[in-house]
Amino acid sequence: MFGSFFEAVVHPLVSLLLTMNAFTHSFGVSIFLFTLLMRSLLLPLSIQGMKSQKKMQLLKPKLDELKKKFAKEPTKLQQAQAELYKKEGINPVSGCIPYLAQFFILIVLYQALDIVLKAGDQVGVMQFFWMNLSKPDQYFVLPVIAGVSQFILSVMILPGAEKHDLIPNASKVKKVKQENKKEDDMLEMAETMQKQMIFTMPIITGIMAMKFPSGLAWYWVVSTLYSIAQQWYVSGPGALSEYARKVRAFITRAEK
Amino acid sequence: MSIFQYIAIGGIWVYRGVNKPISFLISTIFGYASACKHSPTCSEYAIFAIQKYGTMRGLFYGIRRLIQCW
Repeated sequence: MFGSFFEAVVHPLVSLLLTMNAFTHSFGVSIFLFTLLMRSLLLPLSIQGMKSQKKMQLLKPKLDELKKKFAKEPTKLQQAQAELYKKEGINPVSGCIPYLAQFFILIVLYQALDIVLKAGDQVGVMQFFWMNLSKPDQYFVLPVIAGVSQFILSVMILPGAEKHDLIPNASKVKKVKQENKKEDDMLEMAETMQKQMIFTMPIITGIMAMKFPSGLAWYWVVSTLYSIAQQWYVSGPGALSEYARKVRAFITRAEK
Repeated sequence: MSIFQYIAIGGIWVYRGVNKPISFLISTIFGYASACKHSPTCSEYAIFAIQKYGTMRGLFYGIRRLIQCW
């Protein structure tokens, strides 16, 4: 049953791609337009989600306060949190159901592209600049662009350069001090892990893009660039400006 | 803690390890990944519950909370 449901979703996308291709006569252009269309359809949802996530980040100090207040009563903490969200008008777009929906869309899009690319030259022109879209990019241009653009995006999204406010360690009581230390260590660990992801994930993406048909890598690159533009529109360059400042400072120092 | 508690908590850690790159992927393709709005998150809560109430009851509490999330 699940299989046929899946097909019912994938097939319209495949026919949409093929229809587009009847006009453009180039799968590279079709995939480009297809990606723009899909992302633009999802745009209202993404922007809403991003905005509510931004609000939630701003609310973090208040949440931490509540956490301290109801440290021993998890149910009350949850109630207080729900009230705070309601008061601040945070949209319930974030949560596990939208996450699962995103996951589902991700797989469906992948399937649709995979079907078309596997069919190869039978369904249309696969040659796009130097690439045959149904085969991996032999000059590794797209994998490099995919990795670099993902790195830029993750620097923009993930809080890395800004400082977290850790719990002030002012208490004289030894036990509280120890607890605070523990919490600091945990936060630090989570932060280092996130920073590592910023560097490791683009490399993994690049390697995957080398193995996949270049049509998929092309879709990936277009989508990432769209994400960068979307992110810039909603919250500006983020930590990117901090990194850019560091790079500039490094260059001027090297010049002297 | 019993061996079952370790296994259950280990399972939750594996889920988290797998989920991290997936959410990274989603945030690249969609520009953002819908994140959990609760704190502690369900997996944190489940780990805590398993430690405190044992494997079966802890898992039950964890799953109950997961189902309640809409």
